[in-house]
Amino acid sequence: MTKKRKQFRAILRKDLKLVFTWKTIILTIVVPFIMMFAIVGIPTLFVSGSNTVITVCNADEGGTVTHVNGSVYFINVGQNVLYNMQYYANQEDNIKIEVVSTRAKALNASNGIYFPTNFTTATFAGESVFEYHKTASDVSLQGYNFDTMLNLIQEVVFSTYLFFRNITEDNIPQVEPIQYIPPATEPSTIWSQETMKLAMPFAYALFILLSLIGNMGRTIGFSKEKEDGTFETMLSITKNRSNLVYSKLIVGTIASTLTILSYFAGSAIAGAISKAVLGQTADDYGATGFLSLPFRDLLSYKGVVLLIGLGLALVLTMLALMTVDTLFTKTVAERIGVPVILMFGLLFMLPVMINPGQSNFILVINPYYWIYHVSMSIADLTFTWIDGLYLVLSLVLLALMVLAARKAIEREKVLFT
Amino acid sequence: MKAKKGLMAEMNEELIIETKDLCKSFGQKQVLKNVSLHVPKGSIYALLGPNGAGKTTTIRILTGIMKPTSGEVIVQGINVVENPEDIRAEIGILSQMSAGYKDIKTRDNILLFTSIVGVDKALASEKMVELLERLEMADKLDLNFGKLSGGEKRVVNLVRTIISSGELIVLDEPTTGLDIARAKKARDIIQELVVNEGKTVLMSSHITSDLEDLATYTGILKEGELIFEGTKKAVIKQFAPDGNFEMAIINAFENGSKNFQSLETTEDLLEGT
Repeated sequence: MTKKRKQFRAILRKDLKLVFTWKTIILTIVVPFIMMFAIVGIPTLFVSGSNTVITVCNADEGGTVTHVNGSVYFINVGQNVLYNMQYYANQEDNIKIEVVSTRAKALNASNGIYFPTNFTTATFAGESVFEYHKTASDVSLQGYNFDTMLNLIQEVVFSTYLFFRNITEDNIPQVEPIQYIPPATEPSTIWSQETMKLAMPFAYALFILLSLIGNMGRTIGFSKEKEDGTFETMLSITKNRSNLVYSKLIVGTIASTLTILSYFAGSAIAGAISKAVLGQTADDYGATGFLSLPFRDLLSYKGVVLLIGLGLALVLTMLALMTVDTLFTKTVAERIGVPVILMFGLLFMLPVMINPGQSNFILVINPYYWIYHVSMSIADLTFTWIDGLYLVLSLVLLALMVLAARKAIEREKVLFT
Repeated sequence: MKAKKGLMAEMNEELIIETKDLCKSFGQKQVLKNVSLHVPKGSIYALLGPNGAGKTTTIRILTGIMKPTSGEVIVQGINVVENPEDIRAEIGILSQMSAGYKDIKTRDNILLFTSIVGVDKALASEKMVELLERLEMADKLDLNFGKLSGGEKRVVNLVRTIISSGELIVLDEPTTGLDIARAKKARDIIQELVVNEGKTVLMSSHITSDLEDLATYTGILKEGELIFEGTKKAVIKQFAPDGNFEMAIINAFENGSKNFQSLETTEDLLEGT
């Protein structure tokens, strides 16, 4: 038994050595880092070249306001905001303000803003409220320009109020922007809005990592042993062949973890660059895209749950690749393993992208969705019986695949695969 | 006349490998038919046969990689059929394919495998350098395995097998791809393993110079049957009384059968030992 354990350590050392070759380091660490850096960082560095149309409806009827010196003015804050917006847009090449006459037209447009009839009076009553509809991505030029407009509205309201009231900045009323979501696309979500912010980054991260893991599996899995001709030698010198599976699984988990960490490191560094270039990250204004997961958030409870969920999904994927490797020939395994995994990844990501808070038949039979659902619920502290079921199904699937890989590697058929 | 397959079994030498009526089928195809091998300890036993005769399958069964359909296999006193795990890592095996991890150094390729078998690292390193120096490849230790030529890869595999081996070494085509000078050196090293260290070598080869120089005993497989088992001289006497070893092997491959028997005694079969 001691000899077998000692042999397992030697096999593990060998597999670790294979992981830390330049080729594998590039695939597992450098590529995810560059990929995330490119996906997150480059759009923020190359934001010029496309136009942003912001549709505005000003229904503000204005009102009379008495200045601190006694003069009475008729003013329309909504109109002032619109002038300022148009002035700002005239200075910029790629921003256009389109004025429409109805609230519906403004809020059904991409990037629309609506000032209600009482906007002026509400401003001076300390209750400024306006509605907006934002569809542009946080890392896009449109998203960035739209947020600039929201800041501009606040500036105009503040300066108007200050001009008439002669008070300090500390006493000025806050403007309340209301984000409008059209009813037709409003999802009935399982989790809270706060947790829902994790949904898209989780789905994106998982899919991107799945697309990388195929290469990783080929580099550190049994396919690599078959390619190098070492598989038969390993089978002939390993007392307990299950150790070959366990060792690959441990090394696969380590490599997957490194991949996840480099993925988020790439994202975080790109986020920092975005902040340096644009002045703020999406996280600063509560957005839900890639940049809503900066590195520091990964150390929070929800961040850790998310990472564990991603880790579990990757272990499942590594194990699936290894099982396929032991059951089929190298060529068949490569033709079946990676495409099937990517298909499951796509069938998970696309419905989640359309509506991250709902499930359907295609999703409930997808193991990646089980892991996603359980992770989101644990993050949201709303663990239900369905999460229990998904968790059990995930663990049973893992156990079955370990068993299948163990059985397959003991069979002589493995030699001819 | 006594059945030939029993004659080798009657000799007094201690056997390190013994199979009894070994059969192996893949589906409907029977690739080994009642093979009874006898490999004496401290010998070099050449397992020969035309392509597809069942040599590799026999080696895989002997080394616990594959299970027979029926029959008994005893290697180093271990029943390999019942306890294949016990024989794995006890035998040094050089397979036909030159195996190695392309992206890591030659040195690591050897030491990683020897450590899995349980050989002390310092001892393995010392032996590795010594053998590679003799085979004029010590300067390639820090090159990635993938950068070596086919023959150099074969040398690395041979060295790894020798260091990993216990009492028994199984070599499948050990000198294929080696230049004449290196092949000669490799043969000398194999010979020394038997003469100086008392190891046993079971080898399969198509290179007759390997067999002529090295083999003490010869087993000839044809279409899954062991048609002959005896010394080198006995092979010549049996299959080419007026010719040489190479002619005897060719005759055996082309015309030999289990029923083709002229030698009648154990002494005949063991002639020249």
